[in-house]
Amino acid sequence: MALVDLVGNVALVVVPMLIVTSLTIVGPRRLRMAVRTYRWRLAAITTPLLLLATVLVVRVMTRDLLGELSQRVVGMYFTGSIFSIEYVLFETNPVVFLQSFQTEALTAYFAFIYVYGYVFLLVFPFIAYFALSEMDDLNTLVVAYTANYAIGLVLYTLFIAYGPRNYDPLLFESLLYDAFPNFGYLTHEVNEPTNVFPSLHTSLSMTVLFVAWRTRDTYPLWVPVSAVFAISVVLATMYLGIHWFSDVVVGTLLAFLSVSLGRHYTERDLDETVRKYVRRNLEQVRSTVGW
Amino acid sequence: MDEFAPSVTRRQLLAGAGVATAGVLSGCSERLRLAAEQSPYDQVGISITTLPADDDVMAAKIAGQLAGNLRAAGIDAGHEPIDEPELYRQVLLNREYDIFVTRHPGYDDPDALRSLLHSDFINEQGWQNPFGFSDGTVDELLESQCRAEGYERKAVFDDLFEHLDGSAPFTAVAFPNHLGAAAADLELTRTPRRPLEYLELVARRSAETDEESPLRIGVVEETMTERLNPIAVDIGDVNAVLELLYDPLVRHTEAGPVPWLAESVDWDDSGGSLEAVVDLHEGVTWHDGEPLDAADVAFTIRLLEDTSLGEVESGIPAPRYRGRTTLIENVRAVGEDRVRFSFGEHTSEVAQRALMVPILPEHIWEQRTEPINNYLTEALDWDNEEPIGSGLYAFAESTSGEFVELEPYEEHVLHDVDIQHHPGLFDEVDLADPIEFRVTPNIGAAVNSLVEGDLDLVGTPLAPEEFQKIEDTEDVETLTSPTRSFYIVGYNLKHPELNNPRFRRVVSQLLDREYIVDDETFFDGYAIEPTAIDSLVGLQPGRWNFPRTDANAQTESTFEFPGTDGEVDESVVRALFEDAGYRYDDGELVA
Repeated sequence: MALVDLVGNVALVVVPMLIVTSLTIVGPRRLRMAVRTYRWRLAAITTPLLLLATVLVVRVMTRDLLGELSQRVVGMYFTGSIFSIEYVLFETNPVVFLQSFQTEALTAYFAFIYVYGYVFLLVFPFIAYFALSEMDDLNTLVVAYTANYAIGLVLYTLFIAYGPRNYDPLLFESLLYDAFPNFGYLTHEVNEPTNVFPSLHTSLSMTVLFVAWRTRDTYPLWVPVSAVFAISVVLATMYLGIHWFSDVVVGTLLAFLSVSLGRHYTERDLDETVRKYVRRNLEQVRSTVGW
Repeated sequence: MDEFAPSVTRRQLLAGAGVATAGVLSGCSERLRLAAEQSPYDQVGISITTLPADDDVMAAKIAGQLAGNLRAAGIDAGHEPIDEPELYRQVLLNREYDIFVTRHPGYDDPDALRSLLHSDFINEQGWQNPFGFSDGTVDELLESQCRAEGYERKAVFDDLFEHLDGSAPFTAVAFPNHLGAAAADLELTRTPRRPLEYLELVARRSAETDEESPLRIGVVEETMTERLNPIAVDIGDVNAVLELLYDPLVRHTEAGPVPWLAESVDWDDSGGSLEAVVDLHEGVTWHDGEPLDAADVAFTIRLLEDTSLGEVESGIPAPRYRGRTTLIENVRAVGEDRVRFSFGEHTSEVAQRALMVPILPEHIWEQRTEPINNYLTEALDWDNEEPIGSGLYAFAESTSGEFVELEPYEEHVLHDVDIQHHPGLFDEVDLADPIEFRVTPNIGAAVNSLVEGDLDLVGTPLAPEEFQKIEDTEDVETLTSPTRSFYIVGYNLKHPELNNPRFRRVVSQLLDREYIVDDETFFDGYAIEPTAIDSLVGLQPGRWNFPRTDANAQTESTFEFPGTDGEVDESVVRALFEDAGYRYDDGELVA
């Protein structure tokens, strides 16, 4: 089936990209070490991983339920409002502006980025931070991913909005599906056309970039690489007519919030570990001295 | 709602203070008080409900253009895409909209206008007067055409069209051609849509090869794999499947009505009231093997008239086939195979529509009459995922979101008996191949599959761009055929301005039909433009020959678009609204 083909096809492109980048940015020595000592590393990130898995499972399981809840009860039709806000703010809608640069090569580039580049950008940090001597950055990343999905889910339930390509085909072109209709098999499986506000493509990519900036001392090369990919993904969502400028702005804010939550989680965790350590030592001192 | 909002602006406060001072100082307080009073006028706001481009690219384009032209006219207008089931729920069931733009399936007969416009249907669901329209003259004309036939009946319609004259509660924008594509070896000249066309195709295909292989049809309509309820209205275009599964007593064909489950229909109006005696073929069975008899027919009519079968006080009629069932005064099963219909004063020309509804099995649907609330019964809510019908094809299997497969029903009585006036239609006909409707995520993916040989034909209509892209592709045939369906712009008469016929008349003119039909950003010529007063209310141009309307069609253009190339000329359109009694304030149309 076309979906299975496409998933295999994504793996075929992304896996080599991951291998090359891992060897250059992370280095063989770190990678070897990480594989050898994977147990404690996994143990250290169990909680956030379970959290992420839970949110993803809930997301899939409640797809129909939330869809109905959204349409019949809490949801607000929002596409017209987004269009009006941007109509007032901009002389030319940012999506129209980006699409005015349309060439076949650019469409191919952004389609590649939107599907393959995005998967690469999201997966690579797992490898990079797994190979570090501490799991703090990975914890931050996973909690931030989780927050993105969880908050995104709530916003999608509250705001029912279609992307520019669905709103007015006279103004906005549906470049991705016009050029590569078969990508529909993949996007149709993982997404609803009304899940537009905010752009999770943007928020997750910006999350990766924000965390990359925090780890710039360890992986200096990853900052420019992730920046090119993340900004390309953001532009791609608009160029391809999938997202509004508003989705991208709110997506970036969501990324900022999610990374803060991730850091908060990791640092609080750190505090607790330190406190436990101090307490244990104090007790030892107490028993020795005989207070 | 704004009118009731207690809002004191800064200007009012200042003016109020001014009034107090001025009142003390001089006697001219009256003028200041008036200046401070809130304007009784507000800008007119209109929201247009339509489908997202994924579901119907033309509806989205038409809505976008209409919204832009309304804005140019100083109206606070915008459009909102809503997915298909929800759009039908909001527009056809709940009437929560100002203007909607979608595709109407078109009329089998001009009598279809009766259920669309007669005030009897004002509180009903479905395509039954979803506008809230009520006009005594229209009601009268719609009733009298039921009692007339031939030329006389058409003349009544001429009166109706002249009376409505552009101020109907809806307007037709374009009659699209069906653009399709199929494997060249099928040798099709048009995309099959009616059951007979499918049967003809499968028969030809089965005769050519001994091998049994399914006819694979690509569709974008996902609900087809999840919901096959023949009496509900909230589902998209699944008629092709439903009409293969469910047989009517009389089938509507291009060659005219053909008795189908009925062996014969005898009309009699000698007693002052029109009666029809319908004899069923002997030995008709449902797909589960149960016999189909006269009781099933009478039950179907009763169910369509009230899906709660008397449980709910005023009844919950099925939102489909209302125009047809309301023609029937009485229906009675007389013995196993005979049904007697009475139609009162209606003529058989109109009444025969009632015999074309799909017949449903009593033993399955009688368990579904439980009311869920005051406007919904289980029969209407039920998905009917594994339908039992009596058609030449039976439901085989389906997977949600992927496909639905139909298999030939070999026990069908028409394989053994003759159809009246069409002897031997299904003799020697070998319907061996299953029919499979496969869901693709978008029309482009369906076209790709067709080109790669994974599909035999594309069932969902193509947009002109996709159509032209594959015109020269090897082994693929592009197909075009006219349809009776049309793009409709409907008005909710609960909206204070849309309730005004003069306002509606201007709004109906704000779409450049000629441009929409011809321009390459729209239909690129693959549609027919409604110009005459009958086609503007949805009657397919060139099909009915109304004596006055069609004679004048060439000379009399009802609407003139106030602009060029789809976009209105601001000053011209504002003058039109001013002529209709409206006024402008700071460039905004107010009322």
